[in-house]
Amino acid sequence: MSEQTLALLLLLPAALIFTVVLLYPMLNTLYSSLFVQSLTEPYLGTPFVGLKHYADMLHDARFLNALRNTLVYGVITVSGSFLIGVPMALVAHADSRLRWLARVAMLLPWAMPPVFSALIFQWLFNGQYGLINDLLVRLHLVAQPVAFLTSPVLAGLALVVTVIWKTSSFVALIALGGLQGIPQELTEAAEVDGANRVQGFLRVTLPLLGPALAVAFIFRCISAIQVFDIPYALTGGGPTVGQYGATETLGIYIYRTTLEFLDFGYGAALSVALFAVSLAITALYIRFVRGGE
Amino acid sequence: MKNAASTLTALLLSATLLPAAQAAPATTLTVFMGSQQRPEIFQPIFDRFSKQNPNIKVKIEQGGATSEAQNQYLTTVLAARDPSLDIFLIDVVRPATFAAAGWAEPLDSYIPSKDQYLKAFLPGTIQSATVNGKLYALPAFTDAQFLYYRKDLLAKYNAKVPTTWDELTATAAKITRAEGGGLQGFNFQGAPIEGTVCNFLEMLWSAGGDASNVDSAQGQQGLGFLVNSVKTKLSPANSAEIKTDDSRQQFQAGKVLFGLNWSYAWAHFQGKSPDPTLVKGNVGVAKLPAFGKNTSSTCVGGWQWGVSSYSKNKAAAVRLLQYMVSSDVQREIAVNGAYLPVRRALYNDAAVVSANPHFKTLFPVVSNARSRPVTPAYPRVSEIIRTNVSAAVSGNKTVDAALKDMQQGLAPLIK
Repeated sequence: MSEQTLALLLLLPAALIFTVVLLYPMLNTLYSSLFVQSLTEPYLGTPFVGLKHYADMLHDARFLNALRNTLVYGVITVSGSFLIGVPMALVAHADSRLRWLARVAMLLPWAMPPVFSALIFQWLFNGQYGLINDLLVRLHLVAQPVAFLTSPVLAGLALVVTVIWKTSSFVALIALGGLQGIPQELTEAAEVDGANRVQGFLRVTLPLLGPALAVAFIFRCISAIQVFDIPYALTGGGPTVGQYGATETLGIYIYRTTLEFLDFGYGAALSVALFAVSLAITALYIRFVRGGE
Repeated sequence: MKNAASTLTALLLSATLLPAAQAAPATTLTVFMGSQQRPEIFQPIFDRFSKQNPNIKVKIEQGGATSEAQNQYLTTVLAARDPSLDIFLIDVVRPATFAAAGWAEPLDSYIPSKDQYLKAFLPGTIQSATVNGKLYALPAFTDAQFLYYRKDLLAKYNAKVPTTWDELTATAAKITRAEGGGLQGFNFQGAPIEGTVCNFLEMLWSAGGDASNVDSAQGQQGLGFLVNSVKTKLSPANSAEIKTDDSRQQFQAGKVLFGLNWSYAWAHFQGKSPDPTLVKGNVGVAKLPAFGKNTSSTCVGGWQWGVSSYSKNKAAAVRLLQYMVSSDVQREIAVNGAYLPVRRALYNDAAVVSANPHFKTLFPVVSNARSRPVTPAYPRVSEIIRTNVSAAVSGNKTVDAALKDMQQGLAPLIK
């Protein structure tokens, strides 16, 4: 057997799994999005409607609301996770006593299932028995407990805090990996040349950390666009302002359309839209990786 | 080892010597239910059914701890037209959706003299299972929302159980003022969940209104009552995030005078609960109050047995269903599981009443319970009602705006 045949054979299982669990459902979703398939309205039949669902989307105020929420919370939580995650990685990398504490603090949120995290924060933010309200009242910062999860702005804030708490450790882990790959000689050389710590960080560490941070950034963006679990468990997409949920993300809207309202055709089109956005980000990523070669 | 060997021998013998007995191949019925429906209560009943019908075996498939999670599982299985499930236990609001999607088999042709047969059932339970005149499910057990109250506190202040919402407000105001200490006068569900849909409908119905016209004087009165109750501090400030089990826990902790809840709360209050109870022996249960001289109304709850359209054993499945709704089985689950029976006669049954003395009081309530709108689009209907009610209760929307938005959303769905 030639080495090439062996390589093909070894790749076969992966290719097979990829086809069955990824490629086929993807193509099937794309195909379904071109048909009417609303299980609660069987009298509509399943006619081919072409791109109608995509055109409908542009006038679907709920879709636009979900898209806007997803983007707004995406920008805030991705930036937030870097603002917290990178310093966390620096502490975990530094030769200090805090190092182990930082490493544990990093692993804990990362290892916790998202829904679990959301439920913990739901209790923390509870408007009657929540720990946060208890603290605020004890410190006399508020007279009455605050209804975090039922006020549109505060529910958004609670969501941001939960997501950043959960995702900062991912950024920190990747950044820590990057930091450990930077040879110590370089920073030492900078010190010898008279650079202070800030200059050393900005001129030496940060540029070398760049590739790792870029990878973390792209992964964070994709997961932010697709976010479903934490907002679903924490706020359920609510509270409602106007007609739609203040924290309803695209992921939640797709879930509701497909699995609750049983509109598989439109749900498929929404999924394709979400996929397109993720794909655009992935393209950026691939471009970046290629550029690094 | 010896046992295994002899079993094996017996098996081999029966396989070779008794081919005739194998002529009727055994059918295995797979029943889907969630873990919160207590399969341990149903398993022995299924086993007994198998004993009486030796060629039918029954297997339980469990999945999902909540109504939503179970529904998601069933949706996946049934949308794929998977024939592996024969029977499913579904929430009372689902038969219409399952019927429209073509997942639930109409049972009419399997049940001879159906109308006569169904007369013995509570009307609300059959109404919820009937879509366009066809029967798509049989009720497994029923439920309704009740008014739970503190007997000790009412006695202390010489107050009566309220029959109108205004009386409830007056009594609650008087007692909470005198008691202080954070006692809630009235606790209801305001989070965007099913319980909230029911709380709203009950208010609307008992104001003389109907889901087809929520933006009305009756809607104003109904939703206005819930919102005012929060504004006047009879209900907690965070009512818009209170879910069914929060209500149960708060009542159980002795913090509530009047509370709306389903029948499951009773056993918890009496001490059959993971949480300590401070209200054992001091809890009364009554029908919901109404506005003025209107009739009191409550929502039908409970779960229903349906037969999958993709099942290959439909006749056997319907047989099991009819067994499950028989008087004997209904009595058994009432006695062992405190489930509210779906047959009227059992509310006077000695065994049922001695195990659950409060069922007698509940009978007039469950027999007048009304079903939520029976429509395939119920998931959308529910979402529109629960999010708008919750928004009004939290103060994010005025009562007017919430009712207008509700009406606008519901109009194309409820005709």
